[in-house]
Amino acid sequence: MEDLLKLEHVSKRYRGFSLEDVNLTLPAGCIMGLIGENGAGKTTTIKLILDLVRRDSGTIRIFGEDSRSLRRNIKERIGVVMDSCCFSEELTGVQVGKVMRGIYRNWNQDQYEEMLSRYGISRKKLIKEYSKGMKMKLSLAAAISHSAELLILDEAAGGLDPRAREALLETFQDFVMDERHSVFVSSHILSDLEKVCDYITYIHGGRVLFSEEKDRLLESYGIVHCTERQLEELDRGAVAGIRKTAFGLEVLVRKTALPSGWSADPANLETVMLYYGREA
Amino acid sequence: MMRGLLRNDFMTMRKVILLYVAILAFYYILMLVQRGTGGNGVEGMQFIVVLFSAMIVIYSFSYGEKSGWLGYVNVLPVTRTQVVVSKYLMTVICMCAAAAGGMAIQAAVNLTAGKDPLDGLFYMGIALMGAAAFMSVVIPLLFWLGSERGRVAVILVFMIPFAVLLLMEKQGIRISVSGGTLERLMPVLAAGTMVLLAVSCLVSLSIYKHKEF
Repeated sequence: MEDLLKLEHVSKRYRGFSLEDVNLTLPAGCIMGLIGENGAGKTTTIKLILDLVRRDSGTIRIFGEDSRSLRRNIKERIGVVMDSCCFSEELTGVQVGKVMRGIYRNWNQDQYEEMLSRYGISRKKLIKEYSKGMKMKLSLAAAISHSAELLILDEAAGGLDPRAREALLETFQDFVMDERHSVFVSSHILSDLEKVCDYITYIHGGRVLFSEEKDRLLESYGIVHCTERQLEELDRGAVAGIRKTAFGLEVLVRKTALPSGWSADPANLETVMLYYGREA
Repeated sequence: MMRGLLRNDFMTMRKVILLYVAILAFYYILMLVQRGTGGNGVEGMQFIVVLFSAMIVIYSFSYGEKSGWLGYVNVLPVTRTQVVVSKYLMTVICMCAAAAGGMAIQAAVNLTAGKDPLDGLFYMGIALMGAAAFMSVVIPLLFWLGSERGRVAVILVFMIPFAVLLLMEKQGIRISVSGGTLERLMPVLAAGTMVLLAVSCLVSLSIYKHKEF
């Protein structure tokens, strides 16, 4: 399986914030979710991938090529959706298609029109009259309709209603179905990522805390409810995070390190993120 | 590719361009009515027409920054060189379109006045070169400072030559060049303008290549 995206020891330093030693690999046919708190470095990571900001160290490879010198035919294979619609608000959906047709060699006007229809996007209305959801759908239609093989989305689902988010997730799943395409998406809506992602990368304070297969991640962690005294019985290596509640402690544990006789409730992505981030 | 970049800019600016055309048409008509049809009155407009049309690119920077297009365009299969060159192309296209329109009006006015239709068209060439020289300074400033901070710089660039000329006049220094001399110097001036535009493009490219979004 070819790796469509690979970051190795990537760092970027700003005054007051730094992204350090970011490593992640996205194979073909997979969806990777990038999660993290506000200001953790998700957008910076995506901008580094897209060479919108220059990395201070490390390597970023997209389809095997250095992201700093991507040939045109590689860029043709990448579709990008940023957190806001980046097309001029004075354009209509039809005009966006005309612009993109003049930029992409592989522009598929039929696919674009089909997506506009599927998403119910008006062709004649100006973008400034679109709702936030329609702007995102337009951006997605433009990002996909040129035989893209790698989709990169930065907080694209923010502000969308549940139905629109569901449609977005279905689009992701359709997109990777042939096992040659991949999606790299950052989002705060962890329940969505949990439904569709194959890999999860968690960035916290500019550092990657983990980048793993989602199923393996969720299977390896569980939630144990116990008292402080019971907590002392646990090996420290088993404890990934602790939260005090009015009823005792909630402990995120590594199941493989749990003593026999202990049982753990399933953990979801949000729980893992909350507890992991607390301990980091 | 360039076609898509230019389409984006011109389609975004269509309302601004229409407004410009309407305003310029109004002033052309006003000047013609005021000065009669003696063939006078429109030469002065030529400079204004060409300069105003060249400044449409300033609006394109503003719209591009507002929407995020100026950053987003770098994730598309275009090079930063193409983005820079497209702005210069847009400027040249707007100036040439304005010049062509102005020349057509001048020729029509000349014909109505029984003059040689080519009379005075030479001033349009001077206007084009002057506007091109002005934009050679302005466009790199826009790439460097953006449209908001660049506005102040643009005003300064516009005012400095006039301020210098005023100062010189107050000091009794006059530079007068006859029309004939200017006509003879046209090839040199044209070549110089092209060199200026090329240097300006290289400066803009150097700025834009290092920009982060």
